[in-house]
Amino acid sequence: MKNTHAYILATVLAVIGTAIFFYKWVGLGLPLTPNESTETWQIESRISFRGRMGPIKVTIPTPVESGQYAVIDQIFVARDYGLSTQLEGVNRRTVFATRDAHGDQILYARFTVHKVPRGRNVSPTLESPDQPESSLAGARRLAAQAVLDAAKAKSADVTTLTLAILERFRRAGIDDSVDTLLARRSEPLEIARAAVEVMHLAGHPARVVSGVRLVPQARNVKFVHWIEVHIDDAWRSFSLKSNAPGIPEEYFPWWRGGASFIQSSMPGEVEATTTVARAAETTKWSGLVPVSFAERRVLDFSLLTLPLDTQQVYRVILMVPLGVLVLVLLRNVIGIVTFGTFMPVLIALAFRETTLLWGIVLFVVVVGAGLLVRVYLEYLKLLIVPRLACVLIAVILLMALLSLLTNKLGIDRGLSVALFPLVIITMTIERMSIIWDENGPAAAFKQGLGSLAVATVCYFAMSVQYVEHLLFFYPEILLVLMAFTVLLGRYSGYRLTELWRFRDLAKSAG
Amino acid sequence: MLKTLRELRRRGILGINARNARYILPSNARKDYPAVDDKLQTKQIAAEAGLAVPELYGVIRSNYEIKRLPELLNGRDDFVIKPAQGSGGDGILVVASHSSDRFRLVSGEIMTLDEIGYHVHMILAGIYSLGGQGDKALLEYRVQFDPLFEKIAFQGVPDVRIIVYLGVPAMAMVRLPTRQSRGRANLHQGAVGAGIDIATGVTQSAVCNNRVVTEHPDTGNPVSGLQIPYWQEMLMLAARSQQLTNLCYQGIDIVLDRDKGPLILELNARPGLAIQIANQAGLKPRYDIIEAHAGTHEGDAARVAFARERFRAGRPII
Repeated sequence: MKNTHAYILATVLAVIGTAIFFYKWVGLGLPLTPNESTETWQIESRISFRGRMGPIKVTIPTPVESGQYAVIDQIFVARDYGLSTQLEGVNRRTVFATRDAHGDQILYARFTVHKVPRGRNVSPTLESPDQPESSLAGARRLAAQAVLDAAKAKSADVTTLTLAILERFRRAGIDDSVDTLLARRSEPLEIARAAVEVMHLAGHPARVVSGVRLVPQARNVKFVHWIEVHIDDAWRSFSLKSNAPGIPEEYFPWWRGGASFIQSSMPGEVEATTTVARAAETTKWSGLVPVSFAERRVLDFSLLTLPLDTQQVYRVILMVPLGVLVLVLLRNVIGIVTFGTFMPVLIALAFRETTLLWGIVLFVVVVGAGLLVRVYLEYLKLLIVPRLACVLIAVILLMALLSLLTNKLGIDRGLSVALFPLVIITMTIERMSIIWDENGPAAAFKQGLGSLAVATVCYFAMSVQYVEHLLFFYPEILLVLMAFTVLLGRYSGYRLTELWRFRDLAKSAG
Repeated sequence: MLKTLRELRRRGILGINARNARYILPSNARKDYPAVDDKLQTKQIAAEAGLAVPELYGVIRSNYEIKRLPELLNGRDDFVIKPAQGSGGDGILVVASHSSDRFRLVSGEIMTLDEIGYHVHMILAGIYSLGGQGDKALLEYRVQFDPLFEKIAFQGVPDVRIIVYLGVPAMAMVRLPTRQSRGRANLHQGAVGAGIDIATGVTQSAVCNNRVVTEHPDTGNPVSGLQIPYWQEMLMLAARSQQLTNLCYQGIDIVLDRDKGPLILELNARPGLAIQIANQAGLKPRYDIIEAHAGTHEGDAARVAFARERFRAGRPII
């Protein structure tokens, strides 16, 4: 009776899941595989600030078609805000304005950018810019002159002059005139601004360009800065780092002139984080092609409508059920003993960030050192909750120490130790030392290794790109996974390890 | 591997998934678990039903009561401290004798009153308990085991485990502590389990660390061929246990005291499966028979008689 019920439930879940899957796949043509060749990106900025009573105005630059990129779509999520566009030099800026902002305010701006095959380092201009005038004075003017003179001596035309000037700026800290110009700040934006000043002094039109790198997936991206110099009736790009003209292909120019990204009536209080993601959907799903009503309904219900940073969180969360299913298989069908029910899945999630090998090394180091602390505390006979707290603090200290050490050694993977779930690690240490006391080190190591092995398998299952894409576009597959877990819940066959455990019974029958 | 699988299936060996899915989950209601998971409740229920249990000297429920330990002992020389909701024999201290401050354990270890107090604190914090919640510490009579077991037990107290399904004793074994199990009678800690013929109460083959053995690993004495005294009484206790707890599937642990006879030590809602290795027999065929005759026996005695008649060692189940 119970079995029949479970089978029916599993079948219903599986049928619903597969039906939606097929409708979206065959009916609507959602892609089954991540389309690596799609040259469409989504750039999303999340602007947040704490509103005070009263009017507020925030502006951000609006990217326009330039170079090899076309902006094909822009969406702003800003309820209760008026939107307008404001021209500022060569830039367009989007203005968010409201009469009365109070409490936490979050605004989203999402731009969809499509790559068009075209020469990338040249943006043609209709009219020639005015002859620039240098605004420098005093010591800085002298320093700029010194940089310019030194660069001029090593150049033949505007292009080589620009390269020579940029070359000198890479010598910050050695070259006094460069240091004076930069005022000891060596952020890319400062360098770009100073280089533009020197170009202006030389009488060549130049400007700072700021943008983002279009990588497959990045949260909280930093802006990149480079300069453009007007040479032969066109603006030509120069990267700050390279010895040749041009910029890397993935540089997307967002705004020009070296202004800051956010400008607001509450300076310094508005924060913005920007996320970049390659849009994996086909043109239909990126809004290039008009879609039918039904398609629009499905699209409206798709995870793709969420803000980009939330989307990326869901990409990870949707993989958890797969890891859990693997865990159920390993525990109930294979029979591997682990610490805590879901601990291996959480560890596997951390492995995704640390990479597997580093993850295992860091895990073993943290748990091993934590066990030593625990052994010492055992000797002090501490009460249990304070003892757990003590181990937790020790684990945090250990992790900070590891991050510091590996940072000093230049191993940036070590920094990711901070991604381990703290409480889970502490409980693992506690469980492991109790099992050690009660059943000996062999049992403790056996379970520790079992947990690590399960975590590793879960990690592999959860890091298949293809599956990640599939689950993100077709979350209904989770219903099928659920059907599997229901079936596994009624599995009453032997565990693989039981064949070993009961081996004497199979033999003696003879 | 396939051959092993087929052979295990043919002999009706019960795996852990099958035990949980087919027997424990359908037979045992969650609400009845506290009666077996909390040894204090078990003791009270058994005592109300007039069944013999090891005498309770006292219960320590909170940290400030630890000071009352000497008072609770009331001049008794030997005693046992155990967590009420312990599992797998963890956290049990068996004190053989003590002066005002020094306690000698059966293992020979000496503990001070402070150390005992710390141990009780650990018990109260729930470190040995199922689910890890707070717990109580029980202070009880230390069972004087029957000299019969002297040659085949190391330090601790052997007990008899009987699995009862639908009120019928289905399989039994005697669990003998070893050096490896540190005096505890739990198989997963390395104790020896010797199968008992339900029909006669005579020990058969034995299991240690999931392997078949014939002798006690520490004393070297054979563990088979031993007649368990009070066998009929023990089976009666087992048959009776279902009415106590309402659990249709449970294991009952009985100790044999030199002076007081069989005492119910505890009940277990999830009895282990190694008993099958000890008996070299599968549980499933026995459960099938019990299910086939469910409800046909009136009274404990009838069910015990049914079990003794059907579950004879070395004879195929019919």
